[in-house]
Amino acid sequence: MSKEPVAVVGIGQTRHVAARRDVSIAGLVREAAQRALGDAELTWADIDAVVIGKAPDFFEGVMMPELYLADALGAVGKPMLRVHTAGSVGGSTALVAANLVAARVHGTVLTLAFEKQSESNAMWGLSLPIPFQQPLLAGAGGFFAPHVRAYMRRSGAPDTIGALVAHKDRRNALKNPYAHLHEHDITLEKVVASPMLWDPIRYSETCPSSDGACAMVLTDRAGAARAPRPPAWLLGGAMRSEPTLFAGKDFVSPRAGQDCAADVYRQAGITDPRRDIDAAELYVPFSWYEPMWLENLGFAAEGEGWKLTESGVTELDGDLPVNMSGGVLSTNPIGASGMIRFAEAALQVRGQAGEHQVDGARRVLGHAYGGGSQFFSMWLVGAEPPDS
Amino acid sequence: MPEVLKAPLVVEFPFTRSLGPVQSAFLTGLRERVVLGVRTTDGRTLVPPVEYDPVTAEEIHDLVEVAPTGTVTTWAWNHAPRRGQPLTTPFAWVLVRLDGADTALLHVLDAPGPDAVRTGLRVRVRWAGERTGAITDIACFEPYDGDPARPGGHSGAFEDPLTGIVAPARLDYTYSPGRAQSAYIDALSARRTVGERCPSCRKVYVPPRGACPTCGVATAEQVEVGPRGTVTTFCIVNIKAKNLDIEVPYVYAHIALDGADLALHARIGGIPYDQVRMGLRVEPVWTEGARHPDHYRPTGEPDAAYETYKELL
Amino acid sequence: MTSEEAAGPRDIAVVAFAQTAHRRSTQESSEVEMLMPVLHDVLAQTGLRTADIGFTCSGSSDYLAGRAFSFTLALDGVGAWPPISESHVEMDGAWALYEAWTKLLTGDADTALVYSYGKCSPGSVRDVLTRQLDPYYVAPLWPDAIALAALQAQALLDAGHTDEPALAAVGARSRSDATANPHAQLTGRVPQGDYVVRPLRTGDCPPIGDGAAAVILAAGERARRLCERPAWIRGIDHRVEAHGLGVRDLTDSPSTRLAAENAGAFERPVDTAELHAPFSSQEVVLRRALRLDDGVRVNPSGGALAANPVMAAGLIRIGEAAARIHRGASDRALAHATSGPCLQQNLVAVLEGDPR
Repeated sequence: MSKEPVAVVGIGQTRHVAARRDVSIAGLVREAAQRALGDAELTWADIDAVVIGKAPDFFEGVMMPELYLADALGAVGKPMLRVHTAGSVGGSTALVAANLVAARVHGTVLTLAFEKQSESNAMWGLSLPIPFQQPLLAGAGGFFAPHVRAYMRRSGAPDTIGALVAHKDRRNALKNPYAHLHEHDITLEKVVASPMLWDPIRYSETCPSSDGACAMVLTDRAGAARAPRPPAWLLGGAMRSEPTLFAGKDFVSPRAGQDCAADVYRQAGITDPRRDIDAAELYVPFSWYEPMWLENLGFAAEGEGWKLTESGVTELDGDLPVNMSGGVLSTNPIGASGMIRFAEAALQVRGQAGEHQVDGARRVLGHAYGGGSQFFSMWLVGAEPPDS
Repeated sequence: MPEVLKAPLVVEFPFTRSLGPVQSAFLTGLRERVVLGVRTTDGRTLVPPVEYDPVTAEEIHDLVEVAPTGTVTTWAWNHAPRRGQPLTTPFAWVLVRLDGADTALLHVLDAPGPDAVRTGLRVRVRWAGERTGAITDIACFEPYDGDPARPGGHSGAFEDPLTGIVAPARLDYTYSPGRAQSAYIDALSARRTVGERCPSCRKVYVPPRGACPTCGVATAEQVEVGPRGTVTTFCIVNIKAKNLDIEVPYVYAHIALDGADLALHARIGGIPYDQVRMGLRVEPVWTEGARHPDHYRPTGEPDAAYETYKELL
Repeated sequence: MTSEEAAGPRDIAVVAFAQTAHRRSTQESSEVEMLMPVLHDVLAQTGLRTADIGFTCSGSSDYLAGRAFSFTLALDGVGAWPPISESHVEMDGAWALYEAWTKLLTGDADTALVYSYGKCSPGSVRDVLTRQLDPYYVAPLWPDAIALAALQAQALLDAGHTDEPALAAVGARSRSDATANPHAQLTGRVPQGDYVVRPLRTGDCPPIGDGAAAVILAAGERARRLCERPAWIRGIDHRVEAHGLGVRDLTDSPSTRLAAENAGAFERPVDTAELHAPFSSQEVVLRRALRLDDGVRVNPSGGALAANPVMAAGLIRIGEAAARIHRGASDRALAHATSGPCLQQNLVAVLEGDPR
């Protein structure tokens, strides 16, 4: 028996900021969920199950917070699943929810991901002390910067590329009312002049720390037929994992990312991603990851990804816009960041992306990764249902 | 086999929790010795007041004052109070349905002993002397044989409402790194870097983690590597981390020790930070009493060719 | 059966189960060192290698370990190379099995490896679990897991659903049955002991321990080839209740009953039930919710009162029920897993063997 087609009929997110001091954790997730329900013109009673994701529980200091959030998400008396796959979790969570529909276990599922980083401090949450290990670093920037240097060495990319990405994403964010950073006076010069934090990564080339949530309503064909607005259809979705550290690991272009993309493209009938995909929301927490992922995902040959960035192909009005929403560089509630990528991809093919809409976007990729560049989740959504 | 290592691990943070309007009103009320509930659309009064109706999932915010007196709906006697709990002398955990409420509040009851507690017992709030706007502003409940107190009809609006609380939390663990890492750390104390070889793919893992992550089998054969190695890549850290006592800028590098099949991470010293480069040959510098090399410094050898380490990058 | 596959959803079965010998402490092993032999065991039972597995899903908790991203290192034991299709839930492994079951239902995979592990020895698990509670009104009071279970037990006593001797009998029966289970931690005659939090005594509470478990699922004919008598998952469902203890009837478990209904548990009697009841009093609640009479063999493994590696104990219930079907000791078994304070969230699976 073939899979049930899965449609995205509701999308909601919070206005992402450094600290949402006006709401509880429940209030934060509720806001995104309510907006997704509103978009789908559904009520809590229409939801069959809830799938929620977030990154480590230590960020908010609540163990398995979905237990406390059951009431706020209307999950009482319903199935509720909690996914945690590190930074890729927002994407993985959406895919777990999609499988519930694809498997015909449920008709309509609410999926949601969040992080309320202001409850603690991301630096603390990511760098809990481990006895017997030499403390060398704090935070993620230092972990990823050596891999960026490796990419620069391997590709011969000019060292201006990172700044170009940051400048583009921050300008895109100005067109997205939900983005955290709205730097109205951003210029390329300002990006280049910003302090080197973890050389070769500059301050303006790093992501912020945000409070935020993102939610989607996923449904089957019958649900999509009732939807008040055009749905986004899931054309392909996959997760791939590889170990954290191992002999022969390619941190610049991890095989798990390549394999994950290949699986998605196979499902969606994509033979040439550069030609067949109209835009992409990629998980780029440090600007250099844009060219790295462009290569990893097959949009460019190895060592050539930076040329797409440099020539403006990934600009909002380019031939392959990347991170139209402003991306992770402009908004990073860690656990939600992957789902925001997936949701923004869906907004594009629904034609609902507002000022950052790409004209005629029919097939858009959403991408997330996490851990030591080891967990990948991706989906490709389209304006037309599969096999049509 | 060396003795298994263990060390205390404390996970502690003062979490800053924003409240939202309903929770803010309840905790502000406690500060002012007022107990508030929230009314559902079908007329139930929930105490403590929650933001969303557990039955209908509706958002609810219609606040109503209830009495500081009530009835125990169930209880449990705790003869050995634990860290963080409201009383330091033996007490009863109780669920209390306050007069005017339809649901019960979890708290503690100060009573002389378990024989003095029963379900159905009438109790009242004992307020804390100093109140900040927290659930602990109720110091505890105490037995009470008077009439139900009459709630004051407070609207739930306060002049100086609380917006957030600080919730410190501390958990104590005993960390043990396991067999492979214990052996690695043990060898380091003799200033030797000892990895483990995978019996299947023959790769040497440093530090060893007990399993070859690509083959999924235990590593066991010990292999001494280094002490010299090659910088495969690095970054220059210019940002000082709160919990790290390292002067910036410094170089954080991936170093493939000679004989190892993947790089370990360490700091580079003994060379200006802006002269560190990929391919630099380095060796460890030990300081007295330290468990790990303090840093790695240049050996003076010619740089390794990119081809020799690019697979380790 | 598989001949009906074209018409309805795929038949999916538990085809192998393995677990550690659960112990008070495994501090000589890291998590992956503890887990890896179980993964090897479960794969060896089927002759599969990691590369043959279509989907992998695990369950564990960072809070138990005291480390963020703790599950990433456990992945080392799987041998995830070439990269694998994989997911993780921050839940008991029973829910990882549920996720894997849905993956197999879609047809994207024919086999799945499910594993979970928990080390209770590094921290104080009864205190760690307080961090699951409402962070505004409840967690600041640090009501530990035994205290909350004791409040539930007292409510049962008040309602006349049980008494202290009956609770003691649950513990005694569990540990007696556990003598036949080489993996159990607490077996044989165990004194009922003093009150820990009254009305619960030592004997009413689970042992604290470390352990891991793994299961392999397979669909249709694949299951028959991998296992002589597959334990077919006839139904599986899970439901959550409101979080606040004060809004719930602690003497009942409506979420268990609803999950059981959806899993088809009430359509025909089961001969065996593996219930995830870490406290003796919770078995009383679950038996009533599931309408189990004295004819049903409850927790022949000894249950969580004999071994309770948190995050794995629920998956172990499914594994134990399946293993009983594999060896012909059961034809239709119910397995249950729980999560959260006082049975807040519950999963029920109904497993059957082919007629003999």
